[in-house]
Amino acid sequence: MRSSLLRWIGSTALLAVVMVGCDDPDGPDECTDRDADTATMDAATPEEDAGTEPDAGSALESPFEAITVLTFDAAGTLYVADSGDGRIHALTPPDATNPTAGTSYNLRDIDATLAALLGTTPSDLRVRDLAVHPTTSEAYIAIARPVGDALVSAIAVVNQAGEARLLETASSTSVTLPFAPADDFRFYNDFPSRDLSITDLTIYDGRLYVAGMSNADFASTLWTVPLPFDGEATVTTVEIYHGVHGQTETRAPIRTMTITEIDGEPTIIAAYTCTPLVTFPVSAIVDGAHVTGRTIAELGYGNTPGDMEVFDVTDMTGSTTSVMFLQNLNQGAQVIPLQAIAAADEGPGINTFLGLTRVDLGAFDTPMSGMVQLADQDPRRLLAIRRDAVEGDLELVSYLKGAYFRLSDFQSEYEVPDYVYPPEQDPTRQFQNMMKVEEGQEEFVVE
Amino acid sequence: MPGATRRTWLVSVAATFVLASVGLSARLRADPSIGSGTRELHRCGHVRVDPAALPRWVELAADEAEVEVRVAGASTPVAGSMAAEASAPTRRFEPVFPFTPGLVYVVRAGDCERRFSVPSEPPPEPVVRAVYPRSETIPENILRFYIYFSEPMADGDFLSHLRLEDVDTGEELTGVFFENIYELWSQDRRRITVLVDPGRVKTGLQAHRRWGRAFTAGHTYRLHVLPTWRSVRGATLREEYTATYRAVAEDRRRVDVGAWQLRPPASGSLEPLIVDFLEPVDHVSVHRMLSVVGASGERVEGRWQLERGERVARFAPRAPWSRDASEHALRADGRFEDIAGNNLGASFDHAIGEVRAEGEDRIVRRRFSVIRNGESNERE
Repeated sequence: MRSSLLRWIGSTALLAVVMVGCDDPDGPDECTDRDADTATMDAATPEEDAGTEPDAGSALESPFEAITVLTFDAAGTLYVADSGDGRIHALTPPDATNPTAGTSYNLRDIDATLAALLGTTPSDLRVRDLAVHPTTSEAYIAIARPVGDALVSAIAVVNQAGEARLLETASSTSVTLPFAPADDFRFYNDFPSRDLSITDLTIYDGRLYVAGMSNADFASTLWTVPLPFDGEATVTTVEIYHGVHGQTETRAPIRTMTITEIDGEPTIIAAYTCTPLVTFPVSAIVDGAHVTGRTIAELGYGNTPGDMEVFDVTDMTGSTTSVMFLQNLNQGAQVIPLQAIAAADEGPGINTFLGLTRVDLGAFDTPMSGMVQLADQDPRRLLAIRRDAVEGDLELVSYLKGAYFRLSDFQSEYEVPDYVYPPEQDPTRQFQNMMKVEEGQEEFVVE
Repeated sequence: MPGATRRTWLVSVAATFVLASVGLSARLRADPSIGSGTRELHRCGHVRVDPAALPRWVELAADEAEVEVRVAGASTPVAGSMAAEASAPTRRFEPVFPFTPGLVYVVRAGDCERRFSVPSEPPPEPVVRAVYPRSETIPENILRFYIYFSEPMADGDFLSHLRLEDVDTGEELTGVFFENIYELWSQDRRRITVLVDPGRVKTGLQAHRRWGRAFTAGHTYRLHVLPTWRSVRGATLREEYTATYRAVAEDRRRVDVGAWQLRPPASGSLEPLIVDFLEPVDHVSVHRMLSVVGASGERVEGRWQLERGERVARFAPRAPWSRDASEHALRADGRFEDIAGNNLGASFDHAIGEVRAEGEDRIVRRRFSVIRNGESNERE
């Protein structure tokens, strides 16, 4: 009897192992045909997790440390500013076709998509910058996520259908511009400190303009180099100052800038750290120069500018205006006609305190707020990464230039199902129908 | 087999099957990776995950041609490369970024799913090591603060982790610091530079005129570094850290290297060169914008150390000073700043035309000689 009992136990046990398996019923499977010891492996210790240097044999061959700016030139070359090592890369992305080119973006939860691509969760995702490919209209998004103790950067490419991939830098040609002046390191004394955040890259007339902000001194410099970079070009360095009322001036890092012709003269319009808008001519960018910008607008305290774009807008009557669009960090974006900037530029600039009213050159305040990043998408659209106010997720959405709002953001009387448009509201109805199609809401079109 | 034994065997087999299928159906109901749609997903015995190489890559064995790896709950697959191993159907999936410890990943092959994760340890809690300036007083027109952490810190919304109060009035000050999407971290992410909004520091600007300087001489201020701040690895500060300051009159004087008081070391010794700047200076400037050179211009290797208050610094050489009284020089780059942002070229806020020209004045030299034995130790 005992032997059969043993056989009973043995066969039961054997079957139990086969049927229950080696999985932990409550957690993730680590089931293999190896034994349990190898399933509980240690994650790399902080010492092994090598910060910005990936271990040998890792798939992580990102050439980027800390991307802060992305910008395209008209030919489709992507310039990437890496504030980690102070280098600018010029990449030619491999050819791609975008079947959704020319349409609008209406992507909710873009952070979930990008985080999933990186193998992490949205709370670990950082979005650094946005640029739109001039021919494919794909969105190039500089992103970063923690790897051990470091934040490592990559570039994601997204189209209007929400398809996302990581840019393969291996198959892109790349040139590196070591633009930071060598004498920055002359006094370097083994003190670990990254000095510079590159805050803007602008391309104009075959030259690259680079603005940076130091985390250790308040000197401010603008660098420029001719393109294409052939290894021989000299970097032009100028110090940028902000003049106030013709009396005092201060060194002033540039936050964002654009270069455009004002009354036929190539002019830099810049937003500084201390005050919103100054101008200075491109012709002042001469090696070693000390350049003072002319303040043309003071948009008031609390206005922290973000990205700046210049484009043409055609209104419903068909007339076209050139405008400067200034995104703000904590309030709605502002649109200022270039003509107003040109007029202000002709004058002496703001040099008296006639009251404390803001001098905004007739800026039009748009309801576009909560923008994390902004880019010029195409002649009709701006592209924005914005944070949903309620849910907190990131969205990648297009805005129509001239309208500067999205119909689906608002609940209005027009959307009540039995609303009837009277004949005089026909243009409104048609405009709204057009916006509904733009925003992927065709089902709500009212004929 | 004898009849009784056979019966026992059959009973035990039956019992085991009953028990196992009860257990199995309970597992099927409980396991969220197995859906309850019109199609039952199978227990994927043939899909195997070998976690031995985590977090760098994972080896998968599945019969299906299409195998995908995703973060659990995500609809976009993880970017990476799938390569066949020598012994099919095993293949290796190598993500572009290493798998994140603590996160659950799903391998999907046809209708089958399999999960894995990299075990994580709770990350160390960061603490604030220091806030600079370390002095008790700050000028009204102070330009920046630095915060040092024990761990690399994550970025994002840094101002939400800082609180500044006027201790005398009890009021919380807002709009003092420069809001910037480009947070100014050191390369190792252990130091952040927090700028006072230059619009309020500068004279003549609307922000300054309307709201004045952020700090008023005579008042006491307390800066709180809040324990909501996270490290890159995700742990929050162990505790809140505070730094208290009393504001004094503004400093709008250009830094004058000629006025610095130098106390040279003895020749052949390892004594430090002592420099009294006569005012609090930016400690990063001391480390980055000063150097000491010997008679033939060669750099003297050594280490700077600041006294509290950042008014005095000591430079200790790595090797003894030369034995003869050869002339040395302390070199200062024009960008060397005091804590109000005044540098060698000009004060932060200066009249147009006051800025020194580029060229020679970019580096200012103070010459000194090491003291030979028997000579007096007077300051230069």
